[in-house]
Amino acid sequence: MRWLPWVSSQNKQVDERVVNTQNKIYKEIYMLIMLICLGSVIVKNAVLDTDRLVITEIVIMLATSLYYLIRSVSLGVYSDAVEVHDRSSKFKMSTKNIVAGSLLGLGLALFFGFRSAILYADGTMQSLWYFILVFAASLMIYIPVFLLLTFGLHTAANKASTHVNKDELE
Amino acid sequence: MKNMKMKLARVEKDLSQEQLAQLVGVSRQTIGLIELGKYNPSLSLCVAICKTLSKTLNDLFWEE
Repeated sequence: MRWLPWVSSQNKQVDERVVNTQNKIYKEIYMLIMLICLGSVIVKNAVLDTDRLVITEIVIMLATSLYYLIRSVSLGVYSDAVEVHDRSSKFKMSTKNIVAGSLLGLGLALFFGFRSAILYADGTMQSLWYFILVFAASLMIYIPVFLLLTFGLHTAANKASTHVNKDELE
Repeated sequence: MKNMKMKLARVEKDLSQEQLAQLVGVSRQTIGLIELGKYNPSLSLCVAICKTLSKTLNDLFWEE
């Protein structure tokens, strides 16, 4: 682990089974931290009705995800994982990313549409009109944004990782 | 599936699980779990075990 030399254990004798098991635990801890942060963001937004207090949680979630992405790409593991996934799964990773991006955009557009219709409209017709307007505008904004974040980022990361692997094999 | 070949080879060399573990650089439990067939060692650990027990990979880890 040359990236973090102060936590490196290269010179120490290690038991691979212990290391493997520890890595499994670290993976679970990472998922747990993500879930706690996500829960905290949802509870704070619902109970306290403010988004100013959730910056720490957002930074933790984004920074760790970004760290994983950069490290897995720089070590060439990202494209390997995609290759293995695509070989064994019914749907390709890129297809899943397109669907996930579109669904996220659609979900957010629906949320904003309903929110506007409930909070700002008077009467049924105005509610419907506000919903359609906000929903359509949100769709146009958020679907491309989320597609860029999921599919675009995945494609770029996969290409970069494949390049790293190619260089290593030459 | 238990790895009796490895256990026999270790006994032939008159080594305890603890001693073999020390020689290959893992814990006694890992050797125990490999012999019980509950842990699949990496190739490098297999090679280290084979060298210590003066056996080949085929002798210890190939199942017919």
